Amino acid sequence: MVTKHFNEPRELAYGAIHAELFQEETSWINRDSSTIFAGKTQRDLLIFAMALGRLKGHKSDVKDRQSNIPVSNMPEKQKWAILSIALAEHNDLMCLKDENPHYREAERYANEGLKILRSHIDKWGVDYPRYLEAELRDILKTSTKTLE
Amino acid sequence: MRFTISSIEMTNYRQYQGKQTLDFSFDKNKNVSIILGQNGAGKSNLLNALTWCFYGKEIHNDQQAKGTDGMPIINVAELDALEPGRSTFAEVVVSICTNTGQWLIKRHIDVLKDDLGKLHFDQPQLTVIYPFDGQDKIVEGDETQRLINNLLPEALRQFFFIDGEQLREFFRISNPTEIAKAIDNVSQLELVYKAAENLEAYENQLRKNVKATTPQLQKVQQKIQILKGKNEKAKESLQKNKEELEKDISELAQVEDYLRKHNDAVVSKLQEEREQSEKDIKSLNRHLKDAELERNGYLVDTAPYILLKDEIESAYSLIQQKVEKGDLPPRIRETFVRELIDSGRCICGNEIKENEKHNLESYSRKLELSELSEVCFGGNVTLGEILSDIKEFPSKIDQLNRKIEEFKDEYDEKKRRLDYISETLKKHNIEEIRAYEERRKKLTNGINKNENLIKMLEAEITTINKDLDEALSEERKELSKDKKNAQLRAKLQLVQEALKTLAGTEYIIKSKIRKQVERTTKENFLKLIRKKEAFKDIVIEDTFDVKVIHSQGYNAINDLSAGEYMIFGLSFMSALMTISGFHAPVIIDTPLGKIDDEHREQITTELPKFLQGTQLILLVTPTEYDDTVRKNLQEYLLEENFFKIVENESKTISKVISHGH
Repeated sequence: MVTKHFNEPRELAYGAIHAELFQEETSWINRDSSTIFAGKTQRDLLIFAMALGRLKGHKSDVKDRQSNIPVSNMPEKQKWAILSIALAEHNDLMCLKDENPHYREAERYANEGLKILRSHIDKWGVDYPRYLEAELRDILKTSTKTLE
Repeated sequence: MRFTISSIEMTNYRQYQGKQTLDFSFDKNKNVSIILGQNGAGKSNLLNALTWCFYGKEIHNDQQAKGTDGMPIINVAELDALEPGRSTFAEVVVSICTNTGQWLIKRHIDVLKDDLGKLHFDQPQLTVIYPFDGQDKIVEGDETQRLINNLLPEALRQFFFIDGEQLREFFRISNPTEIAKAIDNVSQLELVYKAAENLEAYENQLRKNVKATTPQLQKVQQKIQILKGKNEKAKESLQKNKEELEKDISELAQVEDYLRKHNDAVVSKLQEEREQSEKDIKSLNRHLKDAELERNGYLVDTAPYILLKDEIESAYSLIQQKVEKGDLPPRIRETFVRELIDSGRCICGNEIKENEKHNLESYSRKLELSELSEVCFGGNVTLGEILSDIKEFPSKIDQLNRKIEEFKDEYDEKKRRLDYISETLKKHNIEEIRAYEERRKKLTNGINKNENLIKMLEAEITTINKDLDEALSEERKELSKDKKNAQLRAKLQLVQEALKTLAGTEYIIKSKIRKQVERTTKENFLKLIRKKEAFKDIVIEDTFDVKVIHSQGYNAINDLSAGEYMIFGLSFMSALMTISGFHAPVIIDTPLGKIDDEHREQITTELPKFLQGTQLILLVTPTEYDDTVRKNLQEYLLEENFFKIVENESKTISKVISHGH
């Protein structure tokens, strides 16, 4: 379902410190990468990191912005993942009248989420999918957020 | 330059005692010549005579006559008959017809038998006689090889002087390095390589001349030298490992061939089963990778919503409440309500009462929210879908994991079966089979080890190159700090940019040629192959891996028959010949060996037409030259271009009989 949004930004950005994860031939999203993100898109990685950052309650400003992720062709579900954080924060639908700040907030969560993700992938290596799956099952079971 | 062979004259060369002459006539439409001979009679040595004459090398080895390695180049009977203190010689003279006139190429070797009967061989001498300014010019010494290379460069000879057996094997055993080398040869990039070599030497010279004015500059220049050295070493190791890998792959194919064709039915059956299981394992690996990719993709897609489950639930409930309370009415124009209040009159004409006006005032305050109706309703649907996706997660992930487990089980089963086959063959009561199986294991281990090493070295080279780029950029920065270095810095930068441009040029040319070879090979293959509808494409990847795409979409390179391999090889060689731009005769030794009747028919009816205008000399055995082949080639064969190699009774001396058709 295509929805009209208010003041949606043109792009999402990540910080230069994380650029190698997105852009290089050896990036996580490269089809030959050994990570769980092999073959996925830059925006999939960013949204994942954002959710992880939000779950941990960690966010930080994005320095040296690399605005490479167009918002216009982002699926509605991913847009609403971003907007649901804003709605949970403001508890007011009026916050949807200007979406731009929510996307900036999403970038801030992703900025920290990527750091957490690096440590998880370093720690779990090829077993990361198993670890993630177990954690997600746990969240669904207890409905509390327990990722370390 | 276009040329055809008008005669080959061999004197005391290998098993040919005395002078043997083959005179060829050439007719554009009757372009085929036949040289018929039993295995071991000297067909391959006829091909060797040509390469020896042209390039001083004998590269063709007949399976049945492997002993040529130890056989002197001068005929053994001739040497035996030689009296002490006397000398004799061997020579090959090839006359060719070019568009500038007749050429004569002669390679000659003398031998002297001393009084003690010891033989002393001289260095072979090459002489070329060619038309120049209306006269015959005789050239000896260094310049001769350059003249021959102008006719047909040595690097390209394998596309014209073809060993049928090797050609059939060329694509059966995957050898990207050989394919890359073949394409590299026709790309004729020598000039680019030379330029790069000179520039690199110049760059090193420039760096030596610079006076390190800062400690940092000295440090970075040392780093550059170290990195360059490391890069060279890694590249050398990579090349060595690739060569070793291909050698092992080729030997493994021979070992497996031996086991598959063994008289013991159990052995050959087990080997066939092993080959099938290995193919299945490869395919299972692909399926497993795809299934893991699907599971991981699903995890990455769904995880954010589960991680944000609380936020999504609360957003959904917030919108839901507003809808239920009626705070999210359908969109109404704010101006419409404002006009009603301002005019004080309803659209039906009645006056708006005070309490109604009050209601409208409060309603207009909600209108701001109503602007969000569309986005909120959209969000409501999307968030509802997300929550339903989250609910499905446990069952969906179980289903994806099950699929992975099934592939893994099947994979383990096949692996166990392979171990069983290997153990059975290792304990076989025939010693030779045990030895072959042992060798097979060693080769397989070597191949695995080399494949891993190659991956590691490739990764290492990538890292070194990245570090080198950074170091070079740091060097530029450091040099810019001192004005004295300005000129040097500019020179270095120019050299580095030129090197980059050359690397880019090399890549572009090679890519273009690769694509051209791919296209022409496909055209040739589809023209020559019998089952035209069975194959739809030929792909040469940028890694030089070759794929023959079956009409059902899979890569059939490992499933071709001997005849199809031959046709594929011929198509590839022919593409390289065309692209090389050289027009020389095509000589094929044993073109039809091990090929089924249908493909023999196909090759002998299509190849002469396909190479129309090119002199085609076929060296065949009587088994190859059966009635059908004879009948098919008749219309392309001039009577005088048929030769027979006959051996003496003891099969030590051969001679060529002409016009025997």
